[in-house]
Amino acid sequence: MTKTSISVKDLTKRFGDFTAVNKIDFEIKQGEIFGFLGPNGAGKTTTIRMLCGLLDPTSGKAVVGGYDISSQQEEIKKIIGYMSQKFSLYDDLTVSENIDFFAGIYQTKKVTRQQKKQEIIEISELFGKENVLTGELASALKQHLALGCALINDPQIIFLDEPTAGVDPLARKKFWGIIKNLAGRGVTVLVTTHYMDEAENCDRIALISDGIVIACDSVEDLKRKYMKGILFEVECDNVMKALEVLRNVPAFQEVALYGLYVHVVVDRESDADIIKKALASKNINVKKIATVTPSLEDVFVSLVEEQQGKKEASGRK
Amino acid sequence: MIKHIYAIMKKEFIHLIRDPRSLIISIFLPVILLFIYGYSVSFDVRNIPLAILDDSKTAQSRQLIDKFVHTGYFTIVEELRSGTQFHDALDSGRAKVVINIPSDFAKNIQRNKKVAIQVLLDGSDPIAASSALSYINGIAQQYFSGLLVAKGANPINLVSRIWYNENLRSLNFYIPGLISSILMMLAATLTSLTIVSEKEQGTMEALIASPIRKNELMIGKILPYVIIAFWDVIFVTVIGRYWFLVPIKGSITLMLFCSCIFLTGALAIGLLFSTIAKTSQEAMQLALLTTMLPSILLSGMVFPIENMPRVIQLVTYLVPARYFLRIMRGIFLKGVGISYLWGDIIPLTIFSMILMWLCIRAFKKRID
Repeated sequence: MTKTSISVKDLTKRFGDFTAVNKIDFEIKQGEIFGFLGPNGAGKTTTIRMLCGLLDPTSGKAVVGGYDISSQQEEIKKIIGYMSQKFSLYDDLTVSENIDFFAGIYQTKKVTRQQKKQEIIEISELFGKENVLTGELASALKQHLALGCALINDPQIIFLDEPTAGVDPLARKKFWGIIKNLAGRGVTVLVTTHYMDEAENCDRIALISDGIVIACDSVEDLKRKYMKGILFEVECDNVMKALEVLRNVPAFQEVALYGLYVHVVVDRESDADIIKKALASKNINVKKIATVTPSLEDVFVSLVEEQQGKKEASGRK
Repeated sequence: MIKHIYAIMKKEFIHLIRDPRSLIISIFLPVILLFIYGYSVSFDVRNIPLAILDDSKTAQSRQLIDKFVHTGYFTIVEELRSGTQFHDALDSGRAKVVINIPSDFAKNIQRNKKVAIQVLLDGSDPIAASSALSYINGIAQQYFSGLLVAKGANPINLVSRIWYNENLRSLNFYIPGLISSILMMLAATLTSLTIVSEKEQGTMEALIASPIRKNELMIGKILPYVIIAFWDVIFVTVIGRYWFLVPIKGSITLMLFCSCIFLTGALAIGLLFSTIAKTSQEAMQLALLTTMLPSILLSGMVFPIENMPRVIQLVTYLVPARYFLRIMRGIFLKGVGISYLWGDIIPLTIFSMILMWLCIRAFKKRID
């Protein structure tokens, strides 16, 4: 289980003046669920496309399943499964015809083809819907089918680009069940998402912003290592006003809106008093204030701000 | 390899079946076009409206007028009473030709003197005018040589015979050309959407991410359309033969074989534009523009290539319809076999192969 499945070194992609992916490094082990977390436009899709042999990198190196992404793209395509961000099955083909088509172009063995088809229909929970036109399926089922078709060649590695975008929470949970099941069978999974809660399902995640990997670790380690200071959750009246007031206090590392609460990162536990005082001075009634374990979102916000601070600092030099 | 091609082919066929409207259009459009063009391009002039001023009013002049009517080329629409009506007859468009037989017509014939007949033609339609003029000359000549024979003279007898299209029926000449132009246009537009629409729908991404080879994809994409276009060939040929009554003197098998070569090239043109173009609209327009005008104007379908300026003549060598048209006319009208057609079959084959190769070269298994 310690075999390296994907290794990426200094991988860079430029489109004209725009650097979409900037010297990223990471390694993924076999059977791992590796999450790419970041906002839209951070470079997640570009990275996946390079790893799948759909885009040539500008510089850097990456090896996927033992094949080089700059010279052995067609070899890579045989051993991977890829589910693109945009639905890429044929709407005017039935479920069964779509599966047959992909089985045909991946040239799976005829003896196992029927069995494989049953397996895919089972995975995608499309039993009884084999002859329905794909375009008429609900979006969650479409995603299931897309995943099923990406598994047609029993890939060693599967790339899922925003697989749960636009799918309801219950269906998302089911989807992650399938992904975990795959990883349990030794399939390496690289999945991108911008849902923070989903990322908690991953063994390890890479946080990406502006084409740079700003952190890469397991969820727990990320929370522990990268969250310097203590996180207070403040429940109060007039949250927007409170946010503004607290942001003006220079002692705080970070102030962010978190649902109906304000999250404040401070250096010491005793800083709670400063929060209370600051809000009291503006006549904002504090209902509750307590330390909480940071969520991935807190870590992400904190890291991105740190990154941008660094950028500005180096810009000023 | 064959299995991959088969998978692509099967998928393309399903697309076609699920979209019956396009399928019907692609099968019947050439038939409709053939009807429209077949009726409109007929250059045979019959029933030309003729106005006559017979100042002679003799048995001889009536005999001449009868000859005009009997040929079927002319219909007398008006008997004029004086020369002042000439302008009105032509201006109003009632008549395209006015003939004036002078009062001394019969007298001069009897005295063996020179006879003159005045003919006025509406030159605003040059094709009809020149056909009418040559009919008139022919009829007049026949009439006068008949007179000479009657008087015991021995006029020169020119025995001419036209080969291949004995009656000089213009449809026999145009239908084979039309078939090749229509097929060219249709085939190129048929495939012009196949690649670009997959890019637009996003399905291309899954294809590119699969291990399918470029040549497998392109061959698999083109074959279903070869089959459809092949049906079109059969349809238009049947209509040409049994509706427009164009004789097919040569081998139908050879014609169908050559059609396959030609169609592959024409379909590859559409496929190439589909690969290069960014949008389906662009692909369709490119395919139509590059095939429609050249295959009508530069193939020799309407205008003989020999009459074109040298530079344009050289350009015609790049128009595949030029070769196919010669093959079609050769088989339809002359009934010649493969030994006479090599000179056109070989360039046509080379064309199709180069275009197919270009398609495979132009396709990139990358996202751009």
